[in-house]
Amino acid sequence: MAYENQNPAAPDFTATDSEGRTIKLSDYKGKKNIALVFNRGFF
Amino acid sequence: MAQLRQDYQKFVERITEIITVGPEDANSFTKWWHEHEMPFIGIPDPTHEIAKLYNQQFKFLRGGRLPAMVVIDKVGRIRLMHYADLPSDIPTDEEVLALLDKLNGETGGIDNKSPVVEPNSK
Repeated sequence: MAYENQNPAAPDFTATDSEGRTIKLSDYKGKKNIALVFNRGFF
Repeated sequence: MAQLRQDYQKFVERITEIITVGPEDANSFTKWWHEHEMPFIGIPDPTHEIAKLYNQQFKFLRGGRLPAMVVIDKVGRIRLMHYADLPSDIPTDEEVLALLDKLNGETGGIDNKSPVVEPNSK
């Protein structure tokens, strides 16, 4: 993949998870790596 | 998903959170998530907002229906983007864990201005 920046910034998002918690991707910045998995569906 | 659940502790040991995004509505997603006792973060994304966000910027999800994995380092940069040509074609956990070891080797994957505070370190 050809990117001008080989390590582009991850787009931030805020969403509600299965436990009703607000998850904001950028809250992990400086704390943890993230494995962001896009699932094709359970069913 | 079962493999990720089995290997979750290995991700935790590598200071990594797994966030899974699925296309189901919130009720179906949550029911499945609880029935399978998934230990990591699961986000229902029935309107594909998150999938579209990554697809629009990086043109890699192709509608968001095939599985894909994005590894983001502690600085917030994308270090791996993989979309599957086949539903079974995703990186193995071993490959991702090896990448995380490499990222953590880069001075913890963080610049010196933002020291990482590990929750369990003494």
